[in-house]
Amino acid sequence: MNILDRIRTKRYHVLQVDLSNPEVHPSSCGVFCKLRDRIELEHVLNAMPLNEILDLIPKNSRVIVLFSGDQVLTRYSAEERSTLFEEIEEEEFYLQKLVTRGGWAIQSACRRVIIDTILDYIILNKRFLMDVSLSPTAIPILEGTIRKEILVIGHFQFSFGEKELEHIREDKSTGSRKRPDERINLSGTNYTPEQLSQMAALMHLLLEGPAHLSILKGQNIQNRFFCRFRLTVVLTLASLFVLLLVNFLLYSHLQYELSNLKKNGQNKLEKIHEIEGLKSQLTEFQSLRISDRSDPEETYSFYLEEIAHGRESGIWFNSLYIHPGNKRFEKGKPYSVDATSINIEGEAKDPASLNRFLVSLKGTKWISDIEVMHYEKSLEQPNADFEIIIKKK
Amino acid sequence: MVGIPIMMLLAWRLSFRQTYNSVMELRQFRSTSLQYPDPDLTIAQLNEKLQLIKADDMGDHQSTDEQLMSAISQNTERYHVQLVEFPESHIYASNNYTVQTFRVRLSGRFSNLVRFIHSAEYDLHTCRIVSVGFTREVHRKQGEKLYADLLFQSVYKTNQ
Repeated sequence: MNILDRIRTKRYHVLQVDLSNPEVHPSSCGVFCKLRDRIELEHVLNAMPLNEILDLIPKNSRVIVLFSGDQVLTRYSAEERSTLFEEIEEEEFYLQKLVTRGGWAIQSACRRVIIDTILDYIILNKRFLMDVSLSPTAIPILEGTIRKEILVIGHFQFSFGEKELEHIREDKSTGSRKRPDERINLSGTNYTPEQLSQMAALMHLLLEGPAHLSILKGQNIQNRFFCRFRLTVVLTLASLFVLLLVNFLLYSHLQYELSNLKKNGQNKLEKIHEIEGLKSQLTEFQSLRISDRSDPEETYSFYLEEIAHGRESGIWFNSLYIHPGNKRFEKGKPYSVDATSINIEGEAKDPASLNRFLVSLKGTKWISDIEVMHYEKSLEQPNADFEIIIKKK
Repeated sequence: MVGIPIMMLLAWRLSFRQTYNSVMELRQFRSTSLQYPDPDLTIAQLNEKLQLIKADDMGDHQSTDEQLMSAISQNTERYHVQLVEFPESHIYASNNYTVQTFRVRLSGRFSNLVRFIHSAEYDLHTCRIVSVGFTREVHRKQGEKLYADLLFQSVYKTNQ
């Protein structure tokens, strides 16, 4: 599998810090982006003090710090098993070792105090610190990529053969770069030695994994974003687990209680079902039956007698309906009547006769209201037609 | 991160929902138990009501029309009224009950018709009168006639 397939991060910032005096001396930052099949230098933030350059790097972006300058001590040897810094104490120095395929041992060392101060500053500024590398120790990681080139980085000159680092020597020419403007072509892109050094630091991370695992023992180079994400996931899962556990216990308790209640109250449950059945029967019956009398004494013959008794002279009935209903039966529908009304149509000799009849009816206890729906006297007929509706209490 | 909401959803569907259902079932069980502290008494009261209905309103639907016809024919002679029409009845069936409605048209004097109605109200147990209508019609040959349209209704249980 291609190494790039394992990488999910799309953009890396390789921050090169000159340890000679990071507050004053310009730092630079190469922004590299991951494409489908290669890593490409996107742009460079150049020649600024560290605090200014940090402001240009987005928060939570992936940052690799590459330390360079006079404070980084670098030694080399043609024997790969050589120990080049015997005199330094590991408690005071960070040490980065690398053995090339060509058998060269390259080691760099830097005081912990200096590095820790700058790392703390970067972490405090909420940047996602992925790796730390000491220049130019990272350069040999590009072995096999640079071919037949002489590369000068810092005070060191590297000479690459077909595949391997063939020669490394200190550049004695007064500390300045021998060919400062020379660019090295890698896969069609021209890199300055400085940019190549940044690329090497990034490649170091991708190929070898975070350097801090080997060189910064005990140093808390933190990935705030990752830690927060992992913490969130862990907390969410833990909460979910607790929630499920509580739910399980509650469910078990409820089931136990329900089964107990059902066991003890089975007889009662059956009776409740019976009650509900009887109640629904009763409700259904009551909805079907026409409730036509509130008082058992108030029968149809009673109403007829009351109305007939109240009829005055000069009043004749043509029709009288107690609880009028539809004249026709409708199939599929229950037959219903208006059990509160009595409709009377008839003829009156004069309005006074009708009025006397209405007054006599209003005196009865079972009538709540009488409405005169119609009263008409035509010239052709001697009597007036009327229609009244009596509302029962 | 996508897995967490899916897990939550599954947990809700498979677990929390069941707990919720159990809580509701328990609550309903308790409230029903409280609603009927003495279920035997409630059953007895409801049965009594239904028995009353049965005695008062419900008859044997197979013979209701025969009984009604028999009662009407007996009373028409007694109260000097004439049976004019006894058309087909109307039947409506709900879940447990069936309602049968009969329309009967009689003619006669008002006082005789009222006595007939009075008798039907007190003596007829197979069905009840639910509507009474009087109409006066003038015929060329027979002169003026008074008609009484009576609607009888009986309710009986379909599923015993």
